[in-house]
Amino acid sequence: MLNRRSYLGATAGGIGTALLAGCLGEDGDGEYPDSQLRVVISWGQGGGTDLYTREIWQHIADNHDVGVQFENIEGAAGMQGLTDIYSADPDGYTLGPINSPDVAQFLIQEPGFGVDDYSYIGGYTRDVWVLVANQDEGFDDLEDVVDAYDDGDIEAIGGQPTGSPSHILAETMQNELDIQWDNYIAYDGSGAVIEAVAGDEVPVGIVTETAAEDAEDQLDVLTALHSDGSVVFPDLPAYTEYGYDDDIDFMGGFLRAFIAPPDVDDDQLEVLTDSLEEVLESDEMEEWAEETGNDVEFIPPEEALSVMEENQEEIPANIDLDDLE
Amino acid sequence: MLIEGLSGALDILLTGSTLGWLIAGILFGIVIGSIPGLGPNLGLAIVLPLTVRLDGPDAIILLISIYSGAMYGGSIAAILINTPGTAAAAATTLDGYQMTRKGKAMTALSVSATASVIGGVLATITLILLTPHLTTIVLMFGSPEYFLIALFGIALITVVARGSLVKGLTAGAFGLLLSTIGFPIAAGQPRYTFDTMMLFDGLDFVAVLIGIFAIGEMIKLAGERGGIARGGLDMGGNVASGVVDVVRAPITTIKSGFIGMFIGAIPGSGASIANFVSYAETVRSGGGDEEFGDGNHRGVIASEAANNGTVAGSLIPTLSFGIPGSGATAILLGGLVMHGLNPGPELFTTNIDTTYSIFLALLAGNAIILAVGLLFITKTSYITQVNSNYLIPLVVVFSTLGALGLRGSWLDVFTVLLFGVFGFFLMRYNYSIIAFVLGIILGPIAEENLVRSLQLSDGSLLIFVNEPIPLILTSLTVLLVGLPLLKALTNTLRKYGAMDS
Repeated sequence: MLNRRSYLGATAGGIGTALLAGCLGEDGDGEYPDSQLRVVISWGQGGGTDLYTREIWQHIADNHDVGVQFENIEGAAGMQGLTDIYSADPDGYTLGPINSPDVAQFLIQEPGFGVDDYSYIGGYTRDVWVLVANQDEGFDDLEDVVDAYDDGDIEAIGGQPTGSPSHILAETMQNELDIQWDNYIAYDGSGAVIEAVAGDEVPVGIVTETAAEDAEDQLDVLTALHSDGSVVFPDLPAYTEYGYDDDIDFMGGFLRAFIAPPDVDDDQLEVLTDSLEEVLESDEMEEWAEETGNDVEFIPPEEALSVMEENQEEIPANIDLDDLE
Repeated sequence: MLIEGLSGALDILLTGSTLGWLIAGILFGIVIGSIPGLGPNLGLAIVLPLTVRLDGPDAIILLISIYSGAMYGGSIAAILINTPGTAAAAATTLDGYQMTRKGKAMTALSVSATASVIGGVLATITLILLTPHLTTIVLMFGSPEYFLIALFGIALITVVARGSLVKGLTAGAFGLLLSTIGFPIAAGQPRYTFDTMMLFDGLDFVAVLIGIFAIGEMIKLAGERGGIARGGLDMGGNVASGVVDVVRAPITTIKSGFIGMFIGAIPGSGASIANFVSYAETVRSGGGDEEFGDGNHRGVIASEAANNGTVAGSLIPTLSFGIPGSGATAILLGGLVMHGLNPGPELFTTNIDTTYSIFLALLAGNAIILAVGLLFITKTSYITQVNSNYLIPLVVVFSTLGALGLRGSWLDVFTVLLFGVFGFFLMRYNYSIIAFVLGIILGPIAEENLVRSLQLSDGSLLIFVNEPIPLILTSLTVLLVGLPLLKALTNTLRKYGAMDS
């Protein structure tokens, strides 16, 4: 079970600290950061992004001997919180997480700014999507699935809601790899997709590798949808091993990074990036990663940004965004 | 699986501060239930957003304990001042208050505590024994079955809307309409968002419930006078004779507990119906040999064993299908979802330990109710004398602040305030609140699963009748809606027939 702080922090504490921060101002010792950091998490408490962010930034704040205030601003598939970060004062004290699949929401919702407008602190982990199948279907590998679609033995594929990363990935698989599924069935979250595949409502589904790990005994995990393969399933073949080019890598992988508002001072960004690298490579984080199964890896800000930019170009080039509506 | 699940559940219950939350929940529930005008719905509504930082199992155990404690607490004011603390204890006033007038207040309170606990424990043990079978049933449910069960829940509006059916359907349809705001799962186009990002995820139904059950009730309470006792009370009678009274009426107690459990398990009904049905059944089975309504302890047993039995019963549709059995379980459902514990197969497979820990918490909670009920009976009269002038601002502040804690969105604060006023007018003009709640909660479940079912069947409606479970559910819904119509039709025909002859 997760060890959470007392519930008072939820409201009174949050508001109290915000007020306190406002009263105290930035009157520390002058070395950045010298006052409380505000970390905006665009998804709910207890989810993957929330867990990673709290663990990492609590350590960073402790290392700098400053406070940290976590705010979960959910809504509009993450865009509420991401807009909050974008519009925050670029004083180096507001930051938050972003995931590479969020690029799709920027393209669909068109908020008036792009993922490349933020200041990037760095990435902290990668995840891949995997293709899973109902055990009774008897599929051994990706080729069996492709043949079953071609022969009309199966038609449906399950994934997350319309317009979500797994939906875009399914569309990309159809366009780029010629995997001819006929019917995309949308479910609310990886857990629901797994239930539907295990319960034989849909024969095949797309889920994250970590979600598949929890349900390994109920499903056949067939293929990693990124050419690098899966960290969770090291023996799992990547889709490129079946003769495909790496055309769906931009959606099949999943990079998680931290961002700050546009135009944050370069020196401040450098401090944040160095702090992130130091914490991700610390023994405490390594222990935490081993204990929880949440892998961590420092990814330089330039690389994180380039993955986002690639997604921003590739998604509209590969699929018609109007089809997602 | 049962033994494994129970031992995992025991681990949860005995780890960390879980037991502390359980005790706090029961005590808070008893207090909130015993203050006329408050009750489990309000107690749960104001505490729910404060549980954001708790672990899922701790939060749910706290909430279920408040629910259970409030069910018992409702009887205190019913017995002492003839004002039921909750609708669930309304039938308790009939004989309970008469016992107080005859100088047997302590006996009546002791009967109430003992009967509540026996009813609650029996229903919970039955639920634990039923769970492995429930699991089998829940795992047989896919998208078509979920759609049909949500539709069945919506059709229940015709039954739960006491009074005007048109008003019930209006409230239900409005709830359904509100649930369509935002991005639907199966389409990429937002609905009724007026281009504001705030509305992309729709209204948070928990905020709506907090508004209706906390703010709405407070507006109502502010307009009432004389509901809360001010004078001293005569605490006559004794505790032991109350316990003996219950032990000597085993059939009434057991039967009432099961009546409560059964009625509680029907979505949309709940303790406010169960206590009257159980009371009526006890009067009927008395066969006219006994006087009721004049201080008969069996009347108190019937009502109290039944209302605590509903708690376990109402968990069946809530945990299995996400369909709340009552207003309180609707808020509990909000708590489950908020803490990532989605009703359905997961609660009976991967999260079975948490599910069993909820049941064990109910059992342990009943033991606390018994101890508190019997040991502190003489102090209970103070609770009924709390001045509502102090309560109203407290509840309003907690609800508003709590709303902000849900998603960190001001939309939820506006929702709470707006639906507080809306809820007040619903109550004032006798529109069914539970019909509205069923609409707003079941709307998205029905829509999402309908779309998915039709996708799976290539648009064929046969998917809703071509397997045994869908066929049974479709038939039940048709019967539920069709029977009253058929009855009305035959009455009309009979009337014309009589006129002809």
